[in-house]
Amino acid sequence: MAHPCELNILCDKNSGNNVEDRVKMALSLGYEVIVMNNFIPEFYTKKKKKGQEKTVPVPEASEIKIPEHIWKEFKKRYKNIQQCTRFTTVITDAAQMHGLTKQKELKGYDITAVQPTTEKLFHNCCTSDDVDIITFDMTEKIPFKIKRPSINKALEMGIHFELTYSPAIRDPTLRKHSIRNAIKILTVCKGKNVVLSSGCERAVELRGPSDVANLGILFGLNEAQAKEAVSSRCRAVLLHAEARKTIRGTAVMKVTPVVDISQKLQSSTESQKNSLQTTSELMPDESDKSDCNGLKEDRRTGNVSESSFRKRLHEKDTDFQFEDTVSSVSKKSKTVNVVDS
Amino acid sequence: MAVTFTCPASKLVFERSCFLHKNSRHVTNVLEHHFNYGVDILIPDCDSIPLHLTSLMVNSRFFLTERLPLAILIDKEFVEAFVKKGKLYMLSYGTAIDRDNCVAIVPPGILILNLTKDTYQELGLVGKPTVFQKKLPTKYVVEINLTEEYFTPGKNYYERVKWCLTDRLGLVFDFLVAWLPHEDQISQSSVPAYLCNKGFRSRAFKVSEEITFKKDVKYPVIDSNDFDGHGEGGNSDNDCPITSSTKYDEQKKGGTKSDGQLKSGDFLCSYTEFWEWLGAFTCGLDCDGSPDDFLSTFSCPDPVSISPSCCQCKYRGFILPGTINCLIESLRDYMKSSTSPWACVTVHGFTDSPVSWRRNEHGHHKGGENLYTFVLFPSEDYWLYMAVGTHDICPP
Repeated sequence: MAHPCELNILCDKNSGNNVEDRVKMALSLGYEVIVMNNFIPEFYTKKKKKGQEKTVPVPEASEIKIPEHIWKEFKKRYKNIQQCTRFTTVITDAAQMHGLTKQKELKGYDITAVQPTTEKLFHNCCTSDDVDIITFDMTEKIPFKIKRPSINKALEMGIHFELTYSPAIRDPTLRKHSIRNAIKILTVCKGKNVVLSSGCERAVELRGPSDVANLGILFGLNEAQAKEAVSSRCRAVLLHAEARKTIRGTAVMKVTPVVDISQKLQSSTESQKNSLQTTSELMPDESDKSDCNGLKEDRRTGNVSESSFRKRLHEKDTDFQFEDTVSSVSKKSKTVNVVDS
Repeated sequence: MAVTFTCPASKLVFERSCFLHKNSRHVTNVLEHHFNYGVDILIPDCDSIPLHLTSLMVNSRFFLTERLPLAILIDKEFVEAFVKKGKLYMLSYGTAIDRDNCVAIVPPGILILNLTKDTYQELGLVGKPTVFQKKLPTKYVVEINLTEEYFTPGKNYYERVKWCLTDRLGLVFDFLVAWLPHEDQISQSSVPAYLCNKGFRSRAFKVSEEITFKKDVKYPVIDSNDFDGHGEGGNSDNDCPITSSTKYDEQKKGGTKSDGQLKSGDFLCSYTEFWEWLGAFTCGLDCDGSPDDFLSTFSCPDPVSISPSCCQCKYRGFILPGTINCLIESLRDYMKSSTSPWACVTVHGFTDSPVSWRRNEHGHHKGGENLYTFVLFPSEDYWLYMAVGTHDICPP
């Protein structure tokens, strides 16, 4: 189970200035990952006559984030909190899917979400590389039929379906639509890849993670799925978004901080010495010299191999994909060999 | 349309036995529940609680050590001094069992690491996937026996564990520490003193206490022999402790009781009704059962007796099982001399502890409750309830 996550705090211009209130409320309810959602219904249109494309200016991702000084205040009170951004749009035309990749500003956003309006566009979205979340307008009946083959594709691609619950809190008619839509979606996708989020306009419309999970049961999820829909599924969305960006062949570097406790323990074991020797053999001299200061700390903890290797990658700006899990596996196998020898 | 939310699955085990019985498991049952967060005592018809009862709880101390690396815990010096001698209880503090790494040490010297999938894959120690998620486990449990002979410096396994905990991942936790020394002369605070020498700060805490007396309390009448409330009372032979386990379902036992023919004396309150009432009363619910009440229409189960003064004590802290055993012993003594028809001791376990009873894995689905209640009778009989939530193995 992962940390509880609120995937949809609307912060477009129409939603007013109470974004901070809502974030504050979400944090106090126990959410640890907050995603700021920029909802622009039409951002990309094609002019029919001249064939010119027209785009609506999309604000940079940094603009919709909570300002740094306020976020620092929050961080003092709540530990381990994280802020992400998301862009949502309504898809009414197949060309708009194309626009998702074209817009430069969109690359700054962590998550991309789409709201298809027809069955064909829904299928397009389900097979798209550029989509993390498919969302639905819960305030009215879904105007198309959701079919199993499209859903299967989406599950294969790791795309998630979002159910927003704040319309159900706002008004009884909307509640009717929400529940009907939710059941419609859940009967087809059987509760797989479903995330629950608020989409709230006011702070009162937010609910705590366990309450939302309970509501999920009402929508037709089972106990385990309902809890996952507010925690580990959301984490899967964030990881999917991160992975999506690496598809294009860019390198993502991540240096994990190494806690240096060996100083206190004064434990220099045989295996450590061995690993040091072998790693220095592995490393070319030039990189060792250039990063001498930076490597000193790592050297003692035996993690020299990975971090310096990563640094080298960084220097030469190679096109390798360096996923975290992959690196840790390779690191493990390397060190195991060392111990054996 | 009325919507009924089903209660998450939970388990309740009920036992009836006698303290004097040779097979009575009350001591081991308490000792096997390692991490206790709170103790609630309820005694009806009691004007003043004896001092020796309260002083027992209040005098127990525990420590909070901040940012302690795990490698310290497998240090040979530490293991020889504290883990192998006496009883050491340690529990990571401020970690949620369903999303963080949790660590605990339980007697006799077992280090339990309840790790997230990410940490488990990076750490490189062999463990088992959690029993609660069959398909895609997100938590893994690693158990290390610190007292084993082969767990000593120089041996392969020890070096491997040490290397994993120091070099691979420097796992650091805040720990709640309590140590029961093997000899009376040794102070409890030896562990924090030792850790302080190593450069890790500890703070001492006392168990908090809250005693309230409630007046004119309605409480249900129960009989130790007649646990299912059928008025038979025939099960008087206490040769074997009677155990019955039920799946506790909140829906079935709505507060309203439609049986009009109940006469006091014929039918008494059953063990499930009593437990429900106890929970409601401890939460401070008004059990008058007025039908128009918005929050609750729960009423005290029949037949009812009225107590002029009811004593309720709350203790919160990191309470050792040994202390609870002493408490139960002194309550038994108290019951012999008092006029109270029964007394209750409810012990709540930490919701985020990696184990409940023994080394049974414990998890947190909607609530991580793991608790037990002793109902003591003047005749030295007792009822024992053990309850756990969804992600739990059935108590012994």
